[in-house]
Amino acid sequence: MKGHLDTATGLVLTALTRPRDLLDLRPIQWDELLCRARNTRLLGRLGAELDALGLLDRLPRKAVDQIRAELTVTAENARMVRWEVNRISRALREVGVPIILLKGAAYVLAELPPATGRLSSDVDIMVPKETLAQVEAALIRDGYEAVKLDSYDQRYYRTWMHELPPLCHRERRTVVDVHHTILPESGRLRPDPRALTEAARPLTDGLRILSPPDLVLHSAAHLFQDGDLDGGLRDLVDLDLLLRHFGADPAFWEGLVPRAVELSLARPLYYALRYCQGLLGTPIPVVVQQAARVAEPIAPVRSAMDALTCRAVTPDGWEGPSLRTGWARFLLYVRSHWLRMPPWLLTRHLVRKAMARAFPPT
Amino acid sequence: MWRVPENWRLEWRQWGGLHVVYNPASGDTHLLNALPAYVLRSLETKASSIEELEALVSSSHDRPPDEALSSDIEALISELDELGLIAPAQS
Amino acid sequence: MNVRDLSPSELRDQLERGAFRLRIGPFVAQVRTGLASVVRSLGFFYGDYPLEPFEPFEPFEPFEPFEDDSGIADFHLRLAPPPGLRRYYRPQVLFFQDGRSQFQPYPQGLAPPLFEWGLNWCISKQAHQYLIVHSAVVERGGRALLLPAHPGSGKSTLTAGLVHRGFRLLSDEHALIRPEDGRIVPVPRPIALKNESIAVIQKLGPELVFGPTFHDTQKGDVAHLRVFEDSVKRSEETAAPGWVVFPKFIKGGSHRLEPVAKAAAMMELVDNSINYSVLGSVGYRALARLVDESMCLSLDYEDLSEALDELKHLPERAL
Repeated sequence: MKGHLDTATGLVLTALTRPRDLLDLRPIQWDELLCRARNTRLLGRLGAELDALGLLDRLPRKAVDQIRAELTVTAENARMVRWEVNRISRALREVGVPIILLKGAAYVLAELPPATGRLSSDVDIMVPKETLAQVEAALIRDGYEAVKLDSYDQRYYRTWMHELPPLCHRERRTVVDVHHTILPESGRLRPDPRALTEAARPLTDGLRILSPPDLVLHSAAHLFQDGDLDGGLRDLVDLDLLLRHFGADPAFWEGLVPRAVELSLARPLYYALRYCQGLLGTPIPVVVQQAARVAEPIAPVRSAMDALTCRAVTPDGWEGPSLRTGWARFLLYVRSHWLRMPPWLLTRHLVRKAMARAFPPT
Repeated sequence: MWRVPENWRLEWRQWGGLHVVYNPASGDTHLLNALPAYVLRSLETKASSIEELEALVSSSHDRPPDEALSSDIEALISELDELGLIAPAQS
Repeated sequence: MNVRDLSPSELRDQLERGAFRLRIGPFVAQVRTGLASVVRSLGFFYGDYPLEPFEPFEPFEPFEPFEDDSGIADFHLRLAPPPGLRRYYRPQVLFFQDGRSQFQPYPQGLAPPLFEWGLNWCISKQAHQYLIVHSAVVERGGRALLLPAHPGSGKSTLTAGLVHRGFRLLSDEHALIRPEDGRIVPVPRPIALKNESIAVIQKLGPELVFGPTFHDTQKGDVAHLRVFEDSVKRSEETAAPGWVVFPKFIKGGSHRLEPVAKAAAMMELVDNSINYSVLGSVGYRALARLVDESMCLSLDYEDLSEALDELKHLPERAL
């Protein structure tokens, strides 16, 4: 698998897995690393790691400047997420709906390892499907507006995706995504949202987060089904951190594969474990690796995914994404939309998106 | 009952009777004149009901405890809540 | 070594290869472009600025210990035409930072000012080791005079006038305030003047050297003033807070320079700070300190000369 990686990606992976090696880095390598880490939204993570190890003072001053600037941004981002959750709770208090926090919001509020040095763009929450209309109404009353979408995209979101169109707050300009399940209803995999809700853990103030295996599985599903591979390495790092954190408890490992099978997420879990271990050296018990092979694809598919994934998680340098990286991302994007939408609908959607990009509305 | 939640550590500066307050929880900066600043300071130290605040302001600011004061305090509380400077106190 | 020490062909070659690294105030900008207009513009405006050495990325060279942090750039910039038709037909230019295109394409004729606008954007987006106020800053006697930018302020015109009258330019766009000690850090760049101001400032004297005027920009006509060599040479000399003046150009109004309530000044500065919200309490404390340690004033003016005279005498007034 490592044969698919180029030197620059190797540099970023080294930084993440063996931060102490960075003390030997030459300035021009720092230059490369800072740029790529920033492009893949991992500079804050890297900085937090180096800070925790007490190594920041031993780095070149310009590297420290840029890292500290990024840590300032990520700290503010965490504050923004916490405050937004506070405001959402306040807006939905009257509605009395059980709210489950997802992804970045869950990590930040639960103070899990992926929260450190993280940049979240939106706040994701999950509510029961039957309450969607009430929730939307309450948020709109509180000053949120649907992000301007044309009627095609509106229909796409409501019918085929698993969320309301994103809601943006008029003053704060923050965005909340309201989900009722974790994968699109129209996709081939349909994990039962009630199973997720039943296993959810309480956090504070009536807010809840998914159980440890479900957090991992959601992250894996998001990375390998949703297909947002542009942030790919960052999401893989999130997975690695979650696995290491929860992996301290043997019961977590015992329950992981059975739960994946129960939620029809065994294939994304297989990929998650494969690439976390292969690229980031995540320690995974052998018995779990073997159990995950129940969802192993045939060799040609496996090889193709290896190549595509490695290419797609390559962070962009200041030359921009290479042509191969761009193609890999495109292929994965197509694959994820294929998994999400029936083929006849897919062609229409992609053609329409391509047209919109080439001829933007004036 | 209202108060400034304990983990919102407000920062204060004042110049010539005008207060500039920063709330690290919301990231917002506010300009307050004397009365709102007084009420906010009070709610930082302890939770109070609207009636308690009316009594407090009435005695400290030498204002009669009438309808006008009552509606002023209610409006002020509502505004401070909207601005994310105070929250309902857990009873 | 400064930019002017390169021959025109060396300059063009370095820019084409992306081996060109310019030090501007506290920042190092690596620039790559093949566009002749940008090459010329950089040579014209940045002649006095120092160049940083550049070594290419060779992953297998043996390690040598380094003494300083030369070799790390803050920004990796590239100006290039988009692929395809717009390379030739009604040609356009894109601005890339770290390999990513940042804005919509501009007409290729606007490539030189696009470099300036793009660099403003990069500083605003990334330099969070400073509190960045959207403001001009000039210095006299070691103290900084800030002119926050709000519409109708005419800050660039005033800045050009003050520079002509002997103030040192720290920046036309960004007041970089160091949170640790409250000092203002220079990042001198060409002053951008618009429309009528161009002619007004040109009349002040031949010492003020202009680059070409660009028409049909979003803001009308734009031209840039080259920075005096002295300001570039003294790029590492920070300034202590002195004055914050909120100017307003009022046609037919009366001339007035008055103190402003510090609390109000602070709120104005919050509105004018580019990264205040990112910095959180660090930003709050840095602005409060700036306001504490500066004289805060508002200036209504109609006549540029009168305004400049008034401002010129500020350093003589007790702080």
